[in-house]
Amino acid sequence: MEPTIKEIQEILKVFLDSELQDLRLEVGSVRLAVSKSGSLGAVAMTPAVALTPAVALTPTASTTHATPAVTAPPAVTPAASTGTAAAVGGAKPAHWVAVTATSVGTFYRCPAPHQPPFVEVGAKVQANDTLCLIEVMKMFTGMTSPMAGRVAEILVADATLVEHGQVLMYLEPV
Amino acid sequence: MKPLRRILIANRGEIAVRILRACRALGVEAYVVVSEADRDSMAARLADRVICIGPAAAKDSYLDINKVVHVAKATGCDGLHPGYGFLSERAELSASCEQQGIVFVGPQAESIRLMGNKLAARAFAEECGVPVLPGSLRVTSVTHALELAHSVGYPVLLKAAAGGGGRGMKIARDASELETAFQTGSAEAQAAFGDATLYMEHYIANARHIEVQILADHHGVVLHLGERDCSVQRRFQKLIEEAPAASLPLSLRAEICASAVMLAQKAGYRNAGTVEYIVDQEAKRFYFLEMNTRIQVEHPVTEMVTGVDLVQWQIRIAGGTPLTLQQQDLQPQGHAIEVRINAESAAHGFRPSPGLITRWHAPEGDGIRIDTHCQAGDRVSPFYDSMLGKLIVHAADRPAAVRAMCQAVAAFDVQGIQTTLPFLGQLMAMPAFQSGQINTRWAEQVLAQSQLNK
Repeated sequence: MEPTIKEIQEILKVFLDSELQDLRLEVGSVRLAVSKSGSLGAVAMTPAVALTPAVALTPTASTTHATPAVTAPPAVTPAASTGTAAAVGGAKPAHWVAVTATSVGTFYRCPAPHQPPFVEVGAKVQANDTLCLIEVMKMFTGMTSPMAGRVAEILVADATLVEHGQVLMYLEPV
Repeated sequence: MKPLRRILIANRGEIAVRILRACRALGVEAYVVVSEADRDSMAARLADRVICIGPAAAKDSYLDINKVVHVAKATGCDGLHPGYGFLSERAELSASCEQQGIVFVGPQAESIRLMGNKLAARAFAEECGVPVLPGSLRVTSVTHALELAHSVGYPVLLKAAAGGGGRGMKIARDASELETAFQTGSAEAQAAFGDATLYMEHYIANARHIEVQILADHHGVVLHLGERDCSVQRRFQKLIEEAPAASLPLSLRAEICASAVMLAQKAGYRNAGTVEYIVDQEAKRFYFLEMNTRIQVEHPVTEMVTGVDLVQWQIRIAGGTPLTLQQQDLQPQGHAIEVRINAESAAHGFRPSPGLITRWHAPEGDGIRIDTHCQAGDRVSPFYDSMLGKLIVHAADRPAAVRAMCQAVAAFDVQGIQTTLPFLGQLMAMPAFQSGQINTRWAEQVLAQSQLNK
């Protein structure tokens, strides 16, 4: 039995109000690891909240650290030409797999502010591991890895607007 | 309130380009959202920044309020222009912009809501003392429709309460036609608007479609910019629009314009809007039809005869600038005509004709204006409406404008796709059009006649 998003929010709320510093929880295929000090270290390889792409997390106002604000990206980041690997950063090795944004929205590398990113360059990922979040009007959608591999390159800065179909990162199959 | 400095254009096609040009003229930055199908559109090429918000299907791109508002916010836009069609008459968009601190270039959500429900708008007009057609508030069943038609008087027109654009609209001349009309009308309304509610009005056979352009600022000033005659229609879609309405007696003209201003004032309306009327040519009486809470396709004819840039004023008003125009300075000068050029084959029942434009040679000259997003080498996509642009002429009087339009249509050469230009040229050349002896059924009668002669 998988916990619902609402139940996860409840758990986070209880955790926030408690004196606990760290929490790790595994229910079915959902693994939850949160820390108030950001000191999960090596175990943070596990995505904090593993979401399938169809599931959107709508945090309530009380789970403040899970609601990143919409921030205007610097005006110097025009994103007019995107959509192909070549347009973003020159030719990539042929076996790399592009992860593209399934929606326009604000790209977040971390599950919440002051928490470690879902993935760093070089990180090993399994199929369906969460790679990042895309937010549209406070609706957070997790983007998951299409395959097992290694994160080869991340092209987008945290908290910036990404276009529909924009290449976010490259994975190298292992 | 302060003048806008960066506007997100939440639309496509010619109106996106039109808004962009207004932004340029005012020194306002113009960002534009596009679907995957419009990445290389003219608006995208001209914009200061382009943001792809989704796939070609409009429901996942141009019709997604959350995506559009999020992009406006995330790119630091202080205003959002919805154009016409798509989200332009969705009260939720105006409300969402307001919540996010983005200025919606258009009226407040309440005005859109009031006028968006055609029944509520009709009731409001009646309350304001503006005449409405004899009719009903709501038709609940076939039996009810038959009863109502008896008191309203045939022919009757069924309309969708949530509607617009002719969808769900059906004429019935007698009881047997009414049964079919009720069923197909409510099915169409359900499919198009998610609301099957219909209402009934007496149908005026010899009618003109007359509409009044208004502008209203944040300081209580409401002005009218005269009327337009949009009587040349096919299936309730406008084909040709003119300003001023040459057929309208001056006293009726003054009355209609005054009623539009009064309606906007009582509604506390802001920004640009259009009040539509049906004029009974025999009884010389006018009736409120509906109010459109956005810029309209045919706005250029008003701009040509008044010299007022309506889209620039929309942007200025949204930024809080008071209307400095004076009503007495807004007398129409000369006559303007617009034709809508669609990628359709008139010879094949106006079948859409998407494809590659291999040649696009537009006429040029004094008094000729073309609002378009097309050029040679562009591909007309099958995903959206088929309008390629609008050809507008302005001349000293109506006969001169008709002549200029005939020449301009003949000189307009588009290859690669079928367009409605030849059909528009035929209409323009007809004695009935030239002498102004037309009504809202005229174009369809011409078409029916040409079918018979085949």
